[in-house]
Amino acid sequence: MSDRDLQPEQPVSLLTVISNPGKADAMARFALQQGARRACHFFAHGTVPGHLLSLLGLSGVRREMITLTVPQEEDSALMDSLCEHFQIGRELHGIAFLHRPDTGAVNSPDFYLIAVIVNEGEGEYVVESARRCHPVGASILKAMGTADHSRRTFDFEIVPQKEIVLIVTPASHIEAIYSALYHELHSDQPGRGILFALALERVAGLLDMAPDCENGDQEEVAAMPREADAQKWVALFTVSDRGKTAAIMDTVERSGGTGATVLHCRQTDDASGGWIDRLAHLEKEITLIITEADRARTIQAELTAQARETGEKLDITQLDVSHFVKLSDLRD
Amino acid sequence: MGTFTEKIKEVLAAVLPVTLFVIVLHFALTPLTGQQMGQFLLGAFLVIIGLAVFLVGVDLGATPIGRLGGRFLVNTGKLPLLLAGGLFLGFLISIAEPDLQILAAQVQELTSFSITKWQMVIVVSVGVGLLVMVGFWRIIKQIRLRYVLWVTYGVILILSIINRPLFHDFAFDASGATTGAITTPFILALAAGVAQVTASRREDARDQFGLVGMASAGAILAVLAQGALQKSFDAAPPPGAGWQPPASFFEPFRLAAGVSFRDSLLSLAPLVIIFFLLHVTVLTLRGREKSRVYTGLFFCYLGLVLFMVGVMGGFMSTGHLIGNELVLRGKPLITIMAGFFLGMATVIAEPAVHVLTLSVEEETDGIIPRKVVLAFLAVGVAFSVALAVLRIYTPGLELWHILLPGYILIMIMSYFTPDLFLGIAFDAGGVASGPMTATFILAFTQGIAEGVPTADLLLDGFGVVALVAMAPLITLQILGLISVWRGRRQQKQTSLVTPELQSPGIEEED
Repeated sequence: MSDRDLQPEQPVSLLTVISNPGKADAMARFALQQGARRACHFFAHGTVPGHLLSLLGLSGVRREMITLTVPQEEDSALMDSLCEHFQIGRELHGIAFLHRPDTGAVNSPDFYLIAVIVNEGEGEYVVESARRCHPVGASILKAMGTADHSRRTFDFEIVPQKEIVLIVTPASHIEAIYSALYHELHSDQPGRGILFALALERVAGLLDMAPDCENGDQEEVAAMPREADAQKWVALFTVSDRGKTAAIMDTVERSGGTGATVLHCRQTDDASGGWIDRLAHLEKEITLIITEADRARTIQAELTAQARETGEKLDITQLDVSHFVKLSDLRD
Repeated sequence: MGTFTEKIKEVLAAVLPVTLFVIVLHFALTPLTGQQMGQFLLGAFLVIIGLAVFLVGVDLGATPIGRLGGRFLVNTGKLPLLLAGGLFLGFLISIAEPDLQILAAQVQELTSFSITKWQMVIVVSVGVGLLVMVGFWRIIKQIRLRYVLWVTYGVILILSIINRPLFHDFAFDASGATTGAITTPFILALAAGVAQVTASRREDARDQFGLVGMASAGAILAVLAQGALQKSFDAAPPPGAGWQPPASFFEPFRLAAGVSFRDSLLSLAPLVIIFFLLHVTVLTLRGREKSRVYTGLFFCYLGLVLFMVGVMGGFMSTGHLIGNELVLRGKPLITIMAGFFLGMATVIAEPAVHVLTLSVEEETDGIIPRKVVLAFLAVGVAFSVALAVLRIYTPGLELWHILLPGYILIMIMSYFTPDLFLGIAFDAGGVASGPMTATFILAFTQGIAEGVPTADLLLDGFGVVALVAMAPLITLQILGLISVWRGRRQQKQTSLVTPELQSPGIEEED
């Protein structure tokens, strides 16, 4: 909970590691000792490729994901030592990838992280669609969407459950995966979901899997609406205590944002703390807001003002998004 | 193979402790015959395979049905419908529970037919249904779990006073019997489905925990209410629980298989019915999703059969023999110690314990790690099995002599425990008394009771389940109190270091 040594002026990178269950704690501790500022832990759901397995529903495996906030000048070295120490890069030891938020549009990055936000239950379908042509690894995170203010049950707003599918892919395959996903998922009903990508600085542990068919349907690629070309889109994310996101969401909506996605995680920022110290912590909630660049500035200003008013500390990180595509019209 | 490999690994870690402990006992204290050891090891093998298959089935079948059902009920937005749904679901899953049928048959014998078997089964099922309903109502109305528990256990206390001790035993055993291997994951998921609606609102409480505990309390309440209304009757002498050494190596497994095939089918039937009704009438599911749930239910069935055959065929007679041998050595302290470690190792292999600890870890994003919950649970059960053994050696020590102070302590603690931990504690009480306890530990204590002249064979057996169900309520609340204490300390430290940046920390409880 000591975000105090996070200086906003100092550029940071986000280093994410997805691994088998049980290793994430050790990795986070190692990284924190090596200079990482904080680690966010997520439980994710991975899928093992295999037609019969997925037919029987046995392809699911548990995964743990940690996202480390690392000072930018040390990010590459830290990634190297982490990969070496935990043997990431060898087969099935997990995957690590590095994103630098502020360097903006890297000139033709080699790798992308594709994120697909869809309704609950559709995550595995997304993975299958992406795999139809390209054997990709994918992890699914659970998340919550924006409340639909028009409907209530028992005085509670209905908050739609969402899933976020993360796929790391070489830049050469991104168009084909996009077209496959768009072809399978786009619909006329609103609120279907969105697709976006983040340029990655470095990737380790990505299995070199050759696509087993030719590039996707060229017509589909052409038919995709390309919002990203017309406007620059960004992703804002804030980390706050559990239960505090409702106020943040309100502010986002007031300042013109169309909605946000909330993820739960556990945050550690101290390498020495054991489970007993953790018990007293509250979980954190990450609010992810995807919006146009100019609107993002308004939202950011509003959120900062709100935080100043309530006396809470709120750090907002901005990521540059590429390849933003809506699968259908957004709700509202 | 994806999920299976993962589950086998987890299950190995869960079943190996008890297996190793029996092997250690074999070499150190109670040498078993070659055939007995072989049967035990075959049993352990079946338990490992069965448990892995069962847990995969729970993930694919039982949990989704519970979640879908809970969410459907709450999304209707109609309180009468939600409450009726809770009553119906609680009643249905409880009435099919094989353990409850066995218990009811025993009660019928012991009360010389003044309470018939089906009367008992229906009364308990209504009790479970009613309390599941109250649990739903509590979530929607945002009433704190502790208030509901205080009222419930207050009524239980009053009913206990006007009941004869025999019914105490029935009541607490019924609570263990209704929360079986398949019921618990289903109720957990059901609560999660209903509680989702409140998830965005609360910071400290996770409403999804506590419903299993409510269901257990419902069974206790129902039996006691029935006992209070019952006119006096002549208690029949307990039937002699004769135990003969098996005729051949595979004999016990063959006998167990016959029972397990039928019982497991019975306990899964309500889930099949519920899911069929759901997707035929109200839910639209993709074909893939439907077939996955049905596959999951099939895995549940297969796994449960293998597990039960392993436990009943290999573990029961071994537990009985170990208990018997230990008592013949004439050193009560060693027997009590053995009970302690056996209890500790056995509860880890309990199927529903696995489901609960995993769901606690995931729901809290790892703030309460699975292993910590498991450790606190195991220590609690260890003490309760040791206490149960002690009780066999001590004539005149009645069940309520332990339960009354125990539950008074639990209620006092619940005033200070954070809601999240309170819910987990009461759920853990329900899951700890599953099929492993009901067979292996029970056989162990009965083996001891046979060698102690003053012991009452049947009643001492009943007591074990009640004690196992009580212990986690204390130990997991201790975990909750540790979290409060740590939170206070951390808050003090932060305010000392940087008073201006004081972070909100945890919400102060009371």
